Amino acid sequence: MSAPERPRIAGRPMPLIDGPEKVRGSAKYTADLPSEDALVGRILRAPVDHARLMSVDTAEALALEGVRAVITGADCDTPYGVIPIAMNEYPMARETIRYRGEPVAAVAAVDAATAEKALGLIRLHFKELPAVFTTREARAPDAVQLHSKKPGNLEREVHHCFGDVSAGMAEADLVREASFHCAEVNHAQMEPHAALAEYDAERDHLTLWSVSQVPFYVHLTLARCLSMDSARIRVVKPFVGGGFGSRTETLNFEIIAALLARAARGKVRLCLSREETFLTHRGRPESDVYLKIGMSKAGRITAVECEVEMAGGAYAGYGLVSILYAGALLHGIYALENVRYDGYRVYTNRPPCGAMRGHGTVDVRHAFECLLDRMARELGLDPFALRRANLLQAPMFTANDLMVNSCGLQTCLDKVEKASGWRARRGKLPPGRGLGMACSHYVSGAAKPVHWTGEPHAVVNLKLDFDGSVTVLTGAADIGQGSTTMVALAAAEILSVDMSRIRVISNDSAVTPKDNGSYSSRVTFMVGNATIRAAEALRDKLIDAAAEKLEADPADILCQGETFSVRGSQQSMLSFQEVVTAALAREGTITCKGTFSTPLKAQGGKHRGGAVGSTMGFSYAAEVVEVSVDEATGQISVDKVWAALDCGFAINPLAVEGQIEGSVWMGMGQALSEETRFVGGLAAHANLLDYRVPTAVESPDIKVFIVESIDPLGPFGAKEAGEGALSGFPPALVNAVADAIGLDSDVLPMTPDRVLEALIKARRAAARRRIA
Amino acid sequence: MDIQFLLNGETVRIAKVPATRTLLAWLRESRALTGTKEGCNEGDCGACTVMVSAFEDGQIRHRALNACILFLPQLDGKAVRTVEGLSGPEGQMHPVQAAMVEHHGSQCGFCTPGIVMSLAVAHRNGAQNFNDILAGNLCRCTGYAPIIRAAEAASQAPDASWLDTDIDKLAALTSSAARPPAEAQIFAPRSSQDLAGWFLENSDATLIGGATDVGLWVTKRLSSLGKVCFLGQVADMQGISVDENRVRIGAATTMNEVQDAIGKFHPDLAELLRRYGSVQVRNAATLGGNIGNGSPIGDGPPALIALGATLHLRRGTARREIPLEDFFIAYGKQDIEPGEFIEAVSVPRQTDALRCYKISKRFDQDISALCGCFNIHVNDGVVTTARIAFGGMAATPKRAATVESRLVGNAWNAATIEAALSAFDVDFSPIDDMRASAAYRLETARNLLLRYFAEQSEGRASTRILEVTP
Repeated sequence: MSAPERPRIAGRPMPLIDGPEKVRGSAKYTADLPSEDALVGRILRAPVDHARLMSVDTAEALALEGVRAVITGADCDTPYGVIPIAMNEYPMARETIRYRGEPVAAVAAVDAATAEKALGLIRLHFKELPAVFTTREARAPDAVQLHSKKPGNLEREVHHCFGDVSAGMAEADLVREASFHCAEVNHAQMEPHAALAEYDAERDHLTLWSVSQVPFYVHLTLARCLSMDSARIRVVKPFVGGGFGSRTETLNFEIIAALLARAARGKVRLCLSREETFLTHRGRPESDVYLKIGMSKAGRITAVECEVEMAGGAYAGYGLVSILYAGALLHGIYALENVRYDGYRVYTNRPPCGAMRGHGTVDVRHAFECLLDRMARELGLDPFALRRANLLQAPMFTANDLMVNSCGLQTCLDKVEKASGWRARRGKLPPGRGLGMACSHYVSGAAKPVHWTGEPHAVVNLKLDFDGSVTVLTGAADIGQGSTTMVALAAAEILSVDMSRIRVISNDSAVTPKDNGSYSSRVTFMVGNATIRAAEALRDKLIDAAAEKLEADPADILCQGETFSVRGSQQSMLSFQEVVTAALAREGTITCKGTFSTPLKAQGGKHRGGAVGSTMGFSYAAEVVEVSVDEATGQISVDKVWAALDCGFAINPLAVEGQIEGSVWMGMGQALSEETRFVGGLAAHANLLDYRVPTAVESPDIKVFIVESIDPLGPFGAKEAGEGALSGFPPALVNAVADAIGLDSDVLPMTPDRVLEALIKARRAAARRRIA
Repeated sequence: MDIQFLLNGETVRIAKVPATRTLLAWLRESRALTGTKEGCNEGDCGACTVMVSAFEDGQIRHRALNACILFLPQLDGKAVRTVEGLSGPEGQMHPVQAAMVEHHGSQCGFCTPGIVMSLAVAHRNGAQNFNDILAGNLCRCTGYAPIIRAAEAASQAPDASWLDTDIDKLAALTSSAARPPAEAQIFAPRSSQDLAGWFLENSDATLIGGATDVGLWVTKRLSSLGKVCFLGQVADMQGISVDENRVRIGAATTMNEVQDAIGKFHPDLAELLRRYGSVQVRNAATLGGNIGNGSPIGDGPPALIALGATLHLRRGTARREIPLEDFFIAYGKQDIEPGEFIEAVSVPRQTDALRCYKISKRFDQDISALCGCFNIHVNDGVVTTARIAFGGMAATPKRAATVESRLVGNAWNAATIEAALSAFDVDFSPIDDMRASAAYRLETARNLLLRYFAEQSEGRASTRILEVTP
């Protein structure tokens, strides 16, 4: 047997195979599914920030004509949450309301007007409690406690120390510290949340269609919260309009839709408004990052101390993972030996935070790269030179036992330094304009999943049938990142067949194998590898059949371009269909399986929480940002970005470029204009006017460089591409602003008011210094 | 009221149309056309963008509009195309659709139908200022670059001529449409006279121009409006007329038309209006609505006040004219009587000295933290007139009367400007809110006067870091 030496299809730009449906408007998202026969679901949300919920009176609502079901917290007494050891949320509040907008009841009715009317008839009896909104308030000695057994409202604290930090600091020529504040941000994916649930009362079967990135976790949670055997549940993911982490855990509305369908013994369509979608939240928490770095004169980092405090909202969710990630991903990008990390995840009376693109690392990387630049300035070092002085050498294990097999950061730095004209232009631009740079990295899938069962991380099934088509069955959730196309490419590449022969069926638990879902940038690495293995197994069967027919040794069979031939022989050649017929004659319809598991050594250190941050491979990014700053109004314009990302190998360069542009751009939103804003616990940002994602005119030209370090374990050498470049943008921007107008900013986002106020403050400070 | 319009080339008739049924809800729920997406239901995201074509003064006009805040009665006599209605007779994709696939402009695909429709309208109109065209279409996956690449590629392709069949059908539709008389709950008058008479009798009715504000009362507040009156077909309240003394703008003129027309006289007002909402919003919103809703943060009023605009009000047959600034009495309170409506706004002809500064956290589609408009005339080095008006600095759009008084009669120089700066504190006591702090507003207002002075003194060289270039 023999494979082509170089990928034939993989590595070439490939438009998304489901693109035509999307541009024609025929792609069905959850809210688009036929539902004429469905009841309309609506959720009643808490009007207070924190309260003891005494009773929910639903009698009047139930009596309203056209109402088919009314449910409350009493209908589900099983807590859920994505982390098995931290389940403390109910789909609807039971005894305690912990944030304004938390679901307290839900209605299914024959139409929207009736459902709305019914909500108005539900009577809540509650006793308000004091509320805490910031980490300072929540950690105050006399603060009200959100959850029993969580004194001080500390959801999780982390204290990690690797190496000898005191010695490292003592050894340093320069020690500097700074505190950074990063506002909370939200994914603001374009598709609002929606679910369609159908309950078959005769069979006691439930089907849920939802917008999830993790249909498998949704399946488990439904079984748990509805006390149903998981065999009676089917979860389907239609087209999904973006996720960015907002849907990487089961969300309350998914359980509510299912509970409503069961209560109404029918079908319920539950579409959330944009405001409700914001309230469901799970965004990146407001974070305070204190950072202290010790450095030699040559710019070598000798020690790092970091303290992070996250305002996580009312429930656990991914909280403990977020706070662990924040510390773990201090490592893995530079050669660091002495690192202390203290992390505090705090409960507050606001919508729960969760995972968002660049989970855990973004705000810490921001602080790190900003402080590096300030120290470079003091030491008279170029920011690029400073990073180069600290590069790690792969393969290696970091101080916290993370496996690093490949690292192309050096090449990334070279690319953007050259393309941006850094050496000639930095510090020499006209007034108000500046250049800044930063580096970043991200995991290619968590090496140890949150639901640890010992199973393979990914399973892909292939079916080859009489028609010569290959159907790939996968649980990989395509949420727009292009995983379906990636899977098709990998299968076509290994089988050496045309893409048109491949069909991908994804995310129907009745049909497709279990997959952990689309999060932590795991899909390309894990599902890609599983696809390759499944396709190799299928190719082996075809080669055996071809060998038998050609009366040759399988090892001599050449499988290329939908033909099978004997190596070195020009005589006989079989078409793909002929070989399929021969192979099926042996065993009928062929099904093959490929799996992927992570080796133990990739699964992180033995210390508590050591699994978080562990991965098969890190992507690396370097970027340069050019800005103009208007000192009269505080407005910042991003003029140009150069971004290089080491993704190992670009299986689909078109998609990789899109992911790099998209992630850099999302980092720009966080850096410039995006933030949630609350008045107490009331969300004042919960629409797409006040939550300002950048528009086209503000979105700069992003020159992308793909760097390929060929990871030894990645599929065709690939690593992740969708998250790594995000966290470099905010610090590169802040560093560019410092270059432009000499302002060091400690706060994100850099909105015009913050810039102007910081400028006024800096001018006053300078004036005071002059007087003194 | 019965209406008829074209939907993807087919004539649709709706008898007794509900007044506030949105096009988006109707498409998705009554026609199973789910390609048009609901992303926000308030005109912010553009996922529901559709193409609406109509004859105006004998010219066919194609516009991108947000279906989520467009009421069915507004479509009477028009042609609507949705994303499902773009493909050619052989089922081939529209050039914009094909380019979007090829250039990876569609990723999760949810914003895609709206983007496709905005670009298809632009393609049809031969417009290529894509940043501007897409200002009302949010995308969260791409960072827009692949979409712009797709748009540029598609702009090279020939027009999708198959869409022209709408034009013939529309002509027939428009001419044959029998117009019903005034009804009890919905009225769509054809003239200001009809409007004036009816509104006098039905002064509790809601007047609807483009529904970009009223639409949200329905989709977000879930209000039922009772009696409504659509102004979209009041011919004599639309358009712009110019004589030697003034530019008169009908109250039902859309902001896009205002932008086009006023740009000839005051280019900077056109630049300001280019940042008003988005293409979809400006295609619907009217100048009368922008003024009539009395918002302290609308961008139209401060500019028009700076230009010395006059408001033309009408109640039955009685007409009166007031300076625009006098219309805004207090927050939520305007000088308007029951049964009275805004008929037009007129701006005196003058040498252009207007500069407008919209300060917001997002360039497009954002409400101004403050909007400063300066119109200062200088003769022989001395300030002869100064009209300075701000939005976002008070509970109403408001003139900087003290600042003005410190300028008029004095030399147009740095010393005069410096002396005037402290007067902003006299004229304005802005508040801290979500958009900006009071301190930021005051500091920026002062800086804007300095900027105006710099721009006027050093020629028209732009001092702004981000401008939309067509």
